[in-house]
Amino acid sequence: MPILFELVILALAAYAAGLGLGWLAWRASLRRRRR
Amino acid sequence: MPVRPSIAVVAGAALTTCLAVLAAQVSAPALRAAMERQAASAIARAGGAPIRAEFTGLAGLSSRNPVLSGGEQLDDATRERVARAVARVPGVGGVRWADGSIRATGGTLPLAPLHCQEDVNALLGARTIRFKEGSSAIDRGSRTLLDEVAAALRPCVGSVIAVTGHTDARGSEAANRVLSRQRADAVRAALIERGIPAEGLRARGLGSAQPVEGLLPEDPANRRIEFSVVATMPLKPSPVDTPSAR
Repeated sequence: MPILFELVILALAAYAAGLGLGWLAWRASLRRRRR
Repeated sequence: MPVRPSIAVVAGAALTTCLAVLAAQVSAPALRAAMERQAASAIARAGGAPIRAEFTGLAGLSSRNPVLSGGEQLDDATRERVARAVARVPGVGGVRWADGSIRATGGTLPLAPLHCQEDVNALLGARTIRFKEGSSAIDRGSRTLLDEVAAALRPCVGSVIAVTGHTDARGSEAANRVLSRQRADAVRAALIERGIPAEGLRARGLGSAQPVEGLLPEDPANRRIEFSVVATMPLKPSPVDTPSAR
């Protein structure tokens, strides 16, 4: 597999992980505001 | 102006991809050059000077998985050592030969010759696989011998088995080389037909470069097919799939 593809996959995985963490944090902050 | 979240997510992914491509354009050539330099010195140290390692993958892009080429006249042990040396270079993934499917990894695997090589040698010591004159068509009479060879090789399924064609020194060397390769290919195909897995069989033709010891290079007895067990590949048996004869 070319190094280019490795980097693209790695970057997209990191992006997806960031999105997931951001979404969890956003949901937690919503709950705190509701309380 | 509010942006729909799905559009923002897709735009972010596209931006990330662009960044990765840009980073690869900058870093891949440098990484590749470093691996090429280290692979070249590893090959020289392993004694395989004519062998080249090409770090080119799909569509000419830089890759971690080099394809080794050249050095056909070197013996299998040296080629194996070179492949392992290249595979051990930091950053290098799997190594492949341009002329076959043999792969090598950085780990040290024991080279354990199995008894099937002796069985095959015993079979071929008494009789030989015959071909039609000047062609790679296997003679009808040799089919039973091939059946026996396939049966003898079956315990070595999971190993890399080299099928090497040899000719006598009559005629042009280039034609002999091609013919010996075609004959080795024919035997390989016949063994695959008989249930030996294709990925473990490697065919090559040496022409008249290695005559039988004690024979003149012109002697017709030099026309032969040799089998050798090159390497033992790691088998990963699962409880329902034990490594045995098919």
